[in-house]
Amino acid sequence: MELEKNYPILKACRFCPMCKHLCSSGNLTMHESDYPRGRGLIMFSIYRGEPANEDYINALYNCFMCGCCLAGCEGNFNLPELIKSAREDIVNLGLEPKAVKELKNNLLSNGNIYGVTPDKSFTLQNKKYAINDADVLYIAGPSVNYNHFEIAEAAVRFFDKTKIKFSIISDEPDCGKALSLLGYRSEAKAAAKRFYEKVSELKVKKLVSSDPMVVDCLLNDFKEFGFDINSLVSIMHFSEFAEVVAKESDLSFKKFSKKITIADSEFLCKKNNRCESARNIIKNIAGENFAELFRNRKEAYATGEAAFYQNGSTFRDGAALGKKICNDALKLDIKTIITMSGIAKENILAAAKGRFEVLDIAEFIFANFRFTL
Amino acid sequence: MQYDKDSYLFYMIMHELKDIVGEENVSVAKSDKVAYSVDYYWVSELWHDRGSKRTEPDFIVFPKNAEEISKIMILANEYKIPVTAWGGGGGSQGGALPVCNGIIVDMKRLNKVFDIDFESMTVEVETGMIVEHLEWELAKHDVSTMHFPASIYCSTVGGFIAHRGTGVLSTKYGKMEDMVISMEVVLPSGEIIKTLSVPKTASGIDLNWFFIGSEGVLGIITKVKLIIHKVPEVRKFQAFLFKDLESGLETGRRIMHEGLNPCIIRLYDEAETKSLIKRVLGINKEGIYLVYAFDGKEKIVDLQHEYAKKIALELHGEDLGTEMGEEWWLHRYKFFFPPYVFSLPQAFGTCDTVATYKDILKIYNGMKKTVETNYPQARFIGHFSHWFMWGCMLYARFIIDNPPEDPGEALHLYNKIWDDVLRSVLSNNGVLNEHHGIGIKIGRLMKEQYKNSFELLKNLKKQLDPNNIMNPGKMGLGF
Repeated sequence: MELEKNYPILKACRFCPMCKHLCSSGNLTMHESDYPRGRGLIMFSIYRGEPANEDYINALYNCFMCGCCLAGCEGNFNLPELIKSAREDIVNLGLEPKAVKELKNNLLSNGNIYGVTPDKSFTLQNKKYAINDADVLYIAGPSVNYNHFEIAEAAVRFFDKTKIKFSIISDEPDCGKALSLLGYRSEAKAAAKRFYEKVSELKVKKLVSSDPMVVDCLLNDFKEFGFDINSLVSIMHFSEFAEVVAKESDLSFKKFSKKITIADSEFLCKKNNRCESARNIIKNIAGENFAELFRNRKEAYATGEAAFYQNGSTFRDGAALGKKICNDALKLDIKTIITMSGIAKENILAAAKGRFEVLDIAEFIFANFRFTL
Repeated sequence: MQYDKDSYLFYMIMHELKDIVGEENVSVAKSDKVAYSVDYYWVSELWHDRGSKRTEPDFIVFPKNAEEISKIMILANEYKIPVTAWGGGGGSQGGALPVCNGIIVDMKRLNKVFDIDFESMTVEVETGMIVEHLEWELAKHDVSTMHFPASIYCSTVGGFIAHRGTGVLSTKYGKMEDMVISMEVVLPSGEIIKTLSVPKTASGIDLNWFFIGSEGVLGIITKVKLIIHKVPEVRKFQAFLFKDLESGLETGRRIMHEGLNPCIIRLYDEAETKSLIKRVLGINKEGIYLVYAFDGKEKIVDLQHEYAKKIALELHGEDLGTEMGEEWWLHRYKFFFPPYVFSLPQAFGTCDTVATYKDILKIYNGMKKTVETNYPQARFIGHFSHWFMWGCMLYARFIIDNPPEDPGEALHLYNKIWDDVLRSVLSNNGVLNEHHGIGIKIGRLMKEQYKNSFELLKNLKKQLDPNNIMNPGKMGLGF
């Protein structure tokens, strides 16, 4: 049982309600089973030998794996790790919901959860960017590569304008993050291996991605799988790379006069504490028009980057989170929301209904930097 | 009414509930039934830990306003089904557990802030809101309820009112009950009433007090107007170490009686200083740890500190400085997080009580003696943490590291300790509880506490709730 390996977390979380105020899923549905304590109770029931019924399984897949609970935990008990091990047990027993199996099949056959075939990906349609002697490797990440070409296009144009020699991988591999989060550990490891081998073949020094889940995967999951990608390349989110380039090249900015905010990425900001670069860029450009959506990082909830499946539906709660973010933005009279991932943009855009401009950080940067190189 | 869970009657009731609150706001999922069968009450945790049979609700509903709750009450009376309100599930007395099954009314969708009145310094809020979330809203305007209990992260406004919660700043700002201006309540009949617009009237009995501390047995509080305060200019701390409890208690009493108006006084006995204070704050000293604080305008606060320090030094306190007090403030909730909090397999009970200064030490000694003499397997610790002009509150705890494995046997031992400790408290002019409530945990002792006046409470309950649908089995009011 994978759950057993994380028993100290289970023991700590099963009766503890102290992160209730921070839980993105519980505070969305209000169901006690969608809070960490509820999940702990369910997992302990399973640990005690109670059969994992459909409701229990659904509740364990309802978690957004955002790590917001960790931000308030004095004992640093990593609940998402515990949930991941419970999902692995579910998968090992072949009990995962049908929709989750479909997501896995999409990931294995197409490299993305949406079921879009690789020939429709940005990278395959833009093979011309795949070169051999680049310093920088751009990884769009599944949500951008299959669903948000505009983000990849903005990134590519930024590289061009700043004369950065970059490459893409035309058949961009999946790093395995979504597989891992869904409980498919061996499949995730195999995907990570393929990704690692592809990157190893290239002579790049930096890997820049528009997808926080890719960044998190390379920084953390690869280490767990035994692939030392950090010694091959330095890993950055696009916003971090752009900040460095802007400083080194002394780029100036256009004036941005609308009230603007940022919806932080849970996989970049919450999980890896890498929240500053995008914020610095926006503040530099927008000045006093920048407003924080939350008073502090602890209060920020998920954008739904890993809200894959909830009670039989796929991506439903991601859209609900987008709606919640829009409501908070409305209170602050925000006009532009900057997102850090394709999924976050999608979730917020669905609820924005023309009331806000929703831009990925790459789009915002490309539109507002003055490229004088 | 008894109904088979597979019967068409069960589905008829479910249909009616869905009609009231909407399809997606009724749950009979096994995952929810588990989650609502355990709260912070040790026995419910024990039952879960041992894999014993759970007592679960039949339906969990998520209404959005008083009108929907009213309709649920009418339905529950028709079918004679128990209704139990659930806030955040952070109660330690089992007050929100559906011990007779039936309907759980989860209040968390009632989470709107209606109005912040900066002129009168009040906030009108729905009672399903987690208090930390309310504080986030208020903090945007530099105001606060000043209600800061450790359960602020998980408990709702209504939960605190129903169980008379107390926060760490209560000595100056009062308990939750002192913060209530007015409220909206759904009675067991389904009628929605409002209490008077302000308290402190001479316009008859204050109806607020029917429902404050009523633990959901007389109705469901749906909306409340609370007092708020400006965030103070400064809050300054000071810590001392005393050789004996008497000197510490006398220091606290004199700080109160000199009219110094502290926001915090907390005095830890030797056992708790040696264990929890050392573990959480890293203060490795023997003795009795005392921390106090004042807040407000800096000049006034400095003067208050000057007078308080003089009192503590006169009573031979060892000055630990401001830093050791600030450390306590920074880590004030850490005591309640794993791995610092007591947890299973340990058995633990928080027997908080309140009494006059004349009786409080007698009560402490009586509780300690009861535990240590009769239960050598148990430890006893305590601190005094909410101070009034006439007395103070004792937060005493017993802990057994290795209780019996058999849950029935463990429960029996647990309840025996509770009975003995609380009878000792009652015999010394103390009361059953100060800020956690009664619930299912100690309801059996209510009659001993209230004696013949308990009939008054029972009659009140009978009058308001003739079918006994509201949270049956709690507060000793019968099933």
